[in-house]
Amino acid sequence: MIVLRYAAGSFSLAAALAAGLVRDGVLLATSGVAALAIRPFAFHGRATWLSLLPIGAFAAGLALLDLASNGVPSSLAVRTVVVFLWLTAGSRLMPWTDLLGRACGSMFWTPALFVLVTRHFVQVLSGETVRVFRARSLQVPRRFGPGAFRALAWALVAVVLRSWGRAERFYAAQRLRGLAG
Amino acid sequence: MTPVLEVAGLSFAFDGAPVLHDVTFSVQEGERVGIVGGNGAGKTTLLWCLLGLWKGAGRIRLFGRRPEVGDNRVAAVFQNPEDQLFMPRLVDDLALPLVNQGIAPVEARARADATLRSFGLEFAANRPAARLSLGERKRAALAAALVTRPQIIVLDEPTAELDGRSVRRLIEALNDVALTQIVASHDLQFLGAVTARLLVLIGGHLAADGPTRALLADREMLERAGLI
Repeated sequence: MIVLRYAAGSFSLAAALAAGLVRDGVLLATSGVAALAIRPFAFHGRATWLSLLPIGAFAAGLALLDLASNGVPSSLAVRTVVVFLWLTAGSRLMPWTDLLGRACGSMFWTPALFVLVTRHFVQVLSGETVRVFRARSLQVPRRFGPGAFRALAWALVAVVLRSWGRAERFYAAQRLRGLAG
Repeated sequence: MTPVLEVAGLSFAFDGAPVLHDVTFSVQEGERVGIVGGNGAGKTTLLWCLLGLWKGAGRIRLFGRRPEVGDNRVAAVFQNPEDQLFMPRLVDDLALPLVNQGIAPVEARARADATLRSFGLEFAANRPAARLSLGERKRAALAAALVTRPQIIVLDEPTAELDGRSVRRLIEALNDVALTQIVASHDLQFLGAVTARLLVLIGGHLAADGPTRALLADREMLERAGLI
């Protein structure tokens, strides 16, 4: 499975790069259809197609501007959409975290470790935020009003303090495991 | 015989609030020592001082020297395994301290795989620790600490939030490794199963130091410590 994801992710990212260089309309259209076919494997549910609305609107605006300034539309708008389709599919299919883990001991290890630690801190912060705000919603059912705003302020303080504590323990644990810094 | 750990007159305070008062004890090589006490008794603070993470007043000697963070002879397991394990794959989490020691990644992964097998966690090698059950994560954290082959292991509340079966597996895992163990917990049954000697902390004071069996039978002491 992981090998398939590496293959599909690499292929999609390479296709995005190629689509950015291609000028031929037929080739671009074919590439776009292929990118649309691969999209359900990268996304799930409504995000599969709904996420195309903003880029679709952007491309339509681009085509109109192109038409207004040159009199004839170029392939720029189509190319933008096709590159977007391949790039988003590739980004989703590529097993990034696995790739970062495999960088252990390589020349890319320091930046990979930085990304992994940042990712862990983001997860800690989001986890603590969810917990604190869930507890707040149980204690303060009202969304507005003086009591609700005070509770919100305390919840934010709690998130910072809890995240600080978790970060301190994480840092201590990693220092004990030989990570300097 | 020279003790591997000597603590003499250790005191520690947080922002002027005393947490540990004049704690003195020593640990011999291969000893299994439990540190027991109620919430806020100073167990975790004591462990952090022993590990060199915090500096208090008094004297601590680990292998005859002041404890230093990053000493390969000492490993620690924290209460929350998520504080230790963060890599995308468990095998990378175990290989990480070995790579930090300068061992080649291929050899480090081989040792990590072997350690995971010895803990019955080979099925989880390519999964992130976050996808495992809490019991498996605690055992993985223990494996990650032991992969460097330390001489002393320090564990902070290893049974917190664990179910009975997971506690039993953890006891088996700890009893299978022959090295000096220092375990802070308020789980008396667990301490009875893995330690031979107990240090009882009450309000940051070392209230008792003796054989685990004898101290666990001392109901008055346990009541004073807020443990029963």
